[in-house]
Amino acid sequence: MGTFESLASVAELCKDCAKITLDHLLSLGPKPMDATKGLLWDQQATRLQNQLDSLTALVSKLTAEAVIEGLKNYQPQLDHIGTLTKEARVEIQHMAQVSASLTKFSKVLDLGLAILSAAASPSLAAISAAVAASDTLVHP
Amino acid sequence: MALSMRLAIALLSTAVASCANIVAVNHTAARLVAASDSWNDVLAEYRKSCEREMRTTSAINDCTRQSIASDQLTKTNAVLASYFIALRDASDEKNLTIQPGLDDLVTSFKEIPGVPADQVEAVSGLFGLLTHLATQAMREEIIKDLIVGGTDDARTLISALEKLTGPLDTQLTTEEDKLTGLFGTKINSVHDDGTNPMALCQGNVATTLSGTGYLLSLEYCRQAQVISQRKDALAKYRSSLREADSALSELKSSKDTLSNKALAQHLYAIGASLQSNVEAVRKAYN
Repeated sequence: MGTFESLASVAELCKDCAKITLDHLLSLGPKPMDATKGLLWDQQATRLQNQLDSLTALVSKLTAEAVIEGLKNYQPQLDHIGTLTKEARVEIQHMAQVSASLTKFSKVLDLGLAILSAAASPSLAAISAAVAASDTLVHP
Repeated sequence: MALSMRLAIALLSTAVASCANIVAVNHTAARLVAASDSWNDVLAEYRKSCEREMRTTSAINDCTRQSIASDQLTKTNAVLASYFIALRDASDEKNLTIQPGLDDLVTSFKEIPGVPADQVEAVSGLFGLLTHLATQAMREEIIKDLIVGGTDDARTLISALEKLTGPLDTQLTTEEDKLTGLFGTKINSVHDDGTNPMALCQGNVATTLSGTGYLLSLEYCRQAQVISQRKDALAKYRSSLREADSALSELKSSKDTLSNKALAQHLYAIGASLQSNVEAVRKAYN
């Protein structure tokens, strides 16, 4: 049994003890009106309440320690996922750059077609359009 | 029909099928990111439960170790979240589409006199498609690398987040018992019947108590309700962890068939169930 399991088991045991203590505490019932009996009731209630508080505090500490110990077993997976994610980030950035380059290339293609068109039927409008297409390439 | 148009239609069919499933991967990854964010509330409970208890007992002086436990769990979740975010971003069409740029160029090019408009459409549209397919292939490669390289470890970490929150059941149950003991005793101490404080939260039973007893029962029921909600949230959290694990398992088994239509259907179904559990966890903390 690993450390996590051991600590979690002890915490579970304390939880069960706390439940038994709670049942004893509540079974005391309402405080008697009689002064002497009331005093006895106070003593018993205080003792059981303190016991319950101590068990609760112990459970809180044990469960926290169990988690801290348990997490130590997963460091290899954390390291690997961290590295993989960083590498993916680089690839995603590269993909964005390729996409931007292809966009620029498509503009070159359109510029070429614009120039061919201007050459086929030269006019002020056609030449202006070719200039505009080249401007789009230079200033995206 | 021109060769370019026939080729475009053939390529478009492939692109649409693959696109639809990368959209499904993106949709699922986005849901995983949201789920991971919701898990932080539950992971913080080791600290929060301790802080609640510290207000009602002198047996707990500080919550340092509990805070460390919660912080370390949250950091583990952050590593998972970064993986889900990478998967989401790699499959996000909006990050990489060049279509708006091409659309503008097509429009301006059509305005050049003497250039046949249908040829403009065919060339630009075909080039746009080819570019899309090129980036699509790169995108699929990145997604596959993330899936092949990361799903096993991601599932192991999800399993860890489930295992290591097992003691939270113990913690919350003990907190609940302590609260019941505290208020039950206080109600008993004013000569009212506090032997079953939980019962005082149902119906109008509490109105039979003395004034002090009644006020104590109201406060007990309010605090008990908080713990009850946290326990419910823990159950939903575990369901969402299992859904996330299912989604990753589905992705891994389909890594070579990202164009499989069934993948999209499965992923959307898992995503919907995951969202439902995540919303339940969020509701418990708001």
